[in-house]
Amino acid sequence: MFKAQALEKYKDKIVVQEYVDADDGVWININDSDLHAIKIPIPEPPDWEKIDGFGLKAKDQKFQRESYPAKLKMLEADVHDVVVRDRSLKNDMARNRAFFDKIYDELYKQKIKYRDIITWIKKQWAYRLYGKWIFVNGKPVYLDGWHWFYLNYWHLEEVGLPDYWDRDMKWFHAQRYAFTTTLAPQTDKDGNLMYLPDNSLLMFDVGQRVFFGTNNIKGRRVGDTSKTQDIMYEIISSEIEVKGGIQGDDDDTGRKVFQEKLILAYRKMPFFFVPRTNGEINPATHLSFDLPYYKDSLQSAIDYATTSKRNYYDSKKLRVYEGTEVGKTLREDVHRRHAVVRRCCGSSGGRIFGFMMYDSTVDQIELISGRQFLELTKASHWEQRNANGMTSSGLMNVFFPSWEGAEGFIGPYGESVIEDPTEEQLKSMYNIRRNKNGKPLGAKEFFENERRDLIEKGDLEGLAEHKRLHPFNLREAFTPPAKNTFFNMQILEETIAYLDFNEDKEIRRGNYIWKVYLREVEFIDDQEGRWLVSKQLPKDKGNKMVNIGGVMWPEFPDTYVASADCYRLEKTDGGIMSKGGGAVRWKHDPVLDPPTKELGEYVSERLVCTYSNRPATLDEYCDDMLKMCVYWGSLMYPEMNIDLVAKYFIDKGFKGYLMYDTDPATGRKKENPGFHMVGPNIKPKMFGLIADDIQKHGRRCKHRDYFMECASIRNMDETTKYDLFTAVGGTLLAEQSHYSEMVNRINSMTIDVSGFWGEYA
Amino acid sequence: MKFNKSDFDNMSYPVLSIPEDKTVLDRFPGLKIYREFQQDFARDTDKIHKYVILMYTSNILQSLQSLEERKIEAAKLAGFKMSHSRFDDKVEEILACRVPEINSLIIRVCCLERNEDLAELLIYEESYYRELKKLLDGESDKVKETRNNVRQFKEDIKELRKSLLNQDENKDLISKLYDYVEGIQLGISPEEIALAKKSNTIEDLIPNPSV
Repeated sequence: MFKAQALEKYKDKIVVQEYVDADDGVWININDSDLHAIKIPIPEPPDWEKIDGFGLKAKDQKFQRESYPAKLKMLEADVHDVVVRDRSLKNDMARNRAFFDKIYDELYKQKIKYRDIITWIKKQWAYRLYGKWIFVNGKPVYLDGWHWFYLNYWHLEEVGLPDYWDRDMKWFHAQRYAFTTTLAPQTDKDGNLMYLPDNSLLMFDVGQRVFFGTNNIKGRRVGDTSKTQDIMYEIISSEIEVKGGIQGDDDDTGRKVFQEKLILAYRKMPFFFVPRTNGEINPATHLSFDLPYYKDSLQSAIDYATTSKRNYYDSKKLRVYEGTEVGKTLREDVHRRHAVVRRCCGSSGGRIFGFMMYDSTVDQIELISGRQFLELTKASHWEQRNANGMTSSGLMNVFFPSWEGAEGFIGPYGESVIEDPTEEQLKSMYNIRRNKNGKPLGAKEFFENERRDLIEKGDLEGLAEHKRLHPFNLREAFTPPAKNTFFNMQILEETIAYLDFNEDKEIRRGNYIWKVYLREVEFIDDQEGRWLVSKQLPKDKGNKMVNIGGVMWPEFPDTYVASADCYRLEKTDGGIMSKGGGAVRWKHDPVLDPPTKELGEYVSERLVCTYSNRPATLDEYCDDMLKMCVYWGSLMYPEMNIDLVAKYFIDKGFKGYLMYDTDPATGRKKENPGFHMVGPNIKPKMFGLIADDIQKHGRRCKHRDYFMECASIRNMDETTKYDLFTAVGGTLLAEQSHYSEMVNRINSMTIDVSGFWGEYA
Repeated sequence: MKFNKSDFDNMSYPVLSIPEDKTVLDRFPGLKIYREFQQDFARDTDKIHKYVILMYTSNILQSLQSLEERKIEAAKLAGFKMSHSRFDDKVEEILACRVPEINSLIIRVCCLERNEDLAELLIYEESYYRELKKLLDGESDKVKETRNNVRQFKEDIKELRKSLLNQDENKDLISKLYDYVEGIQLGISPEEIALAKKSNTIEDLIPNPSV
């Protein structure tokens, strides 16, 4: 029913004029540059008279819990007394079973007497199955059945029954949508999404469910784990022969969720929502809805995994799966476990019968699982579907900014108090905070103030953590840890986040291989490759070298410069073998980027190639460095604490590719190539150059691996742990040198210069 | 025709006042939730709905003493044509309660109309069998009294059944009624809900209150 119809039908009720039409859909993932907004359709409201709260003034229309009939309470108490007095029942399990037998028997035998009770219970089932319409502040709002069940019957630890929150209403609709939808976005012939006037997408029906479930990226303490348990119980306790499973980030989290959330709520559940069990009141390992002597027993169950490993549920059929704190998973590959669980929830023919719900904060993005959770998130973008209408992961991202549903910032109608609270909202907020001017704060300003405080204290690590735990947008949920004060962390974080969420076709992973040994190198794409490159050379521009007296020289040494930081075979870092670093930098090109050009529009003066790897042998590493220099035609300026790279180049006849420092006074080159990371000046100089480069050109950097090292390094003594960082620093040091100009001059001479350069050859 | 259409306006489902271009289900969409009303009887569907409602709900047709006469009148009002004082064979089968699917529809209409009779019938049936069991098991101290109880319950049940079926005591129909009664459970336990979900009859057991 719409307002126009209601005004016509209920002419005598003036209060109806205050009411407004229901929304025709619920929007989630809105106002986030990395998420496509989703409009979840809502059914048309019934006759307003059938909606809870009809006839009340709008201001008095709030969510009301179901009123448990006194007659039913009395019946339960009577049956309980009979059971307790029955001495033939020897223990709690027997008494519990007898309670169920007797109360159903009583209701069945006295159908007439308890007709009102039976009708009321049926109504509870109806709301649980189909949801319920309620009026909230003058507007019809549709509560999904899972949400209604949560609000009325799902007890929370130290809270009791939850309050109605607008955020939860949307969250539950998102879950139901993922559980049921068979729709995928329609695209035009060019593959573009097609929009309807309300900015939602034109969809088409795939004919089968398209999502295995949801990927819920959340802030702290928003109750998503309890809500997923509510859904798990609702499904498993009303279906025959189905299984639900809970798996955590380690070997104990599943148990905690099971005992502290599921069993807590289960024990408070009214009898008519509890399937028959063996009577165990406080199950420790699994909740089994199976009673052998009862012929209609569901034979369904919920358990938890005692390990984070993928094999726990392997080959089992799961109707519901909760993967809690996925982004913190220890000792397991998130992707591989996801693949296993996906098989548990679907058939090989593509039919989806299970429902998966992941939820996680990303406390420790530096963990491998944090990165994997990010990749899973990127594979779960709702609008990015394959030819079968599914996302790559089979999941759908669900994200709410931290100011939605922030504890203490909830208004009288369950609305999130994001901006300045109104007087009416203040009355229902229990966490009223005011700024120094006495103005009460909304959630957004509160979180912003917390961040400002961290910035003022210089606690960048705390700031990064705050962003991950209370993200304002999806990107912030994956904020890398800020661990130093050398560099502009904002540029680093924002650029890393940008690279995480935006595909750049220039960025490719692969390997350089010898096409002609010691003469020509080519780049081959390989997802497991050793190099990350952000530029490809045209065929006629790569591998440019000249042979002068049997020594190879780069033909155009002034365009790119390379550096390498070799590793020691025996060196370990906290049990992890260190890696060899390598980098190539595109030097400033004054023709392409004249001084009149804005820095942000520069194309040169940036990294184009990074390498962080530990091949089986040092020779292999040195050969990798040589191939890199041959391809780019760059001079190599290696870190020389370990001089193997220089030796290898000389040994292979590529001494001309090595770069030497020159004496500023005499202009004479030094005896050895490269640089040493020892002495009081070199590290501050390198850190200064890197800081300056990040400030000027950081936002154009396409090498996430390098920026992650920049963000992670805590002090100057840690450079040995960050080989790529040192290698890139080496390219910046090298860019200062005029050595390449000297090489250029020699290359352009037409005379045989082998005598002049002979000492180097 | 002995009756005017307006004579039927006070029925719980006044099917004779439905415009010609509308069907019973258009006019009373709430009936769609029952699977008996979802059955398709081709082009006779609407006539059958009308016939069953006219014949088995309270209305002026009950003033006709003869059951056969009532059935004929209801069928004619529903739109079935007679030829040489006979209906088509298919219609005759319906009137004789020999079509199981239509008998299910009749039971559904009866139960919708007389829910209280149905509840009472359930209780009486159970009480009847309890008393009968006492006699068989020899548990009763007062045999004569128990026998009287059994007799009385039997009579009462017969009366209730007649009332419930709008005086139609057709054997097939009674048999269908008992099929239905036996199938009735409380419908409130998770196990009953799960079964109904599995057999796709959940909306019969628990109708959606918003529809």
